[in-house]
Amino acid sequence: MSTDTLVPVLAALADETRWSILTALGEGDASASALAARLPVTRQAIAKHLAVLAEVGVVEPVRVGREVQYRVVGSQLSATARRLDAIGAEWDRRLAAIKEIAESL
Amino acid sequence: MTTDHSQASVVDESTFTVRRTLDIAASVAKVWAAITEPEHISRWFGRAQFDGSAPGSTGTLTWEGYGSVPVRIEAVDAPRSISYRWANDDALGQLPSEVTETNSTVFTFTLEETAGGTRLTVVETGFEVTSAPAANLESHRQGWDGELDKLVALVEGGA
Repeated sequence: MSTDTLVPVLAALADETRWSILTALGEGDASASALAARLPVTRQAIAKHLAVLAEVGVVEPVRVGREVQYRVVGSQLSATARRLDAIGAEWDRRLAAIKEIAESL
Repeated sequence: MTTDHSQASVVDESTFTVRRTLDIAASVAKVWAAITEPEHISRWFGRAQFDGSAPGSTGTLTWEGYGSVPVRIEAVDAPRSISYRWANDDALGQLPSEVTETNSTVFTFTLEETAGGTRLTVVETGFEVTSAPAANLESHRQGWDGELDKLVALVEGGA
């Protein structure tokens, strides 16, 4: 995952509610109504957050019968991959700092 | 080989390994100092204190407002590689007083001399032994807002 795609995805995820939504979808596909029943957020707000998440490509709508469900997209968004990505970003920052220190010694 | 080795990153989900490499325009000795001397470690990591510099030495990394994380030097092959084990299990919800095999991960720095200086590689392993990945994930998320800013700064700075 390049930083070009990582940055907007991280920005989309840097929100408490969207994170809750994504975590809930990680347990299984769900409609906006079903998510609203599980989370302390209105269905309208959930729909907005889902739109943000869909825009950066981390969730996608799937029609199931009469309702639209959302599902998490891509292996990059498995819990482990997200975690390892975050750890990698931390190392990027640390290595950049080490570089700066070593080059100024 | 391109010069931008910061892009040569690998996230290997199956082995729970994070690897990063960066080329540094400084001698191996200077890079070695930056990654082993507490005074320097304190600048790129947490405030570092160690009771020695040989394998088995223990110490702490301290962040204001967070606490002290226990750390242990696992292996040293000066000036080619050094491994640190640190209690990196955020999901525990509390900071352990000492490093154990089940509450920690290991990161190893490897230094290679290059024409322009030093190629520094870091590999962190052992995430499969830490507790609940989902809880760790949630805990890590809280660090993301800040990380994002730093990431953007790093990218825009063309490091």
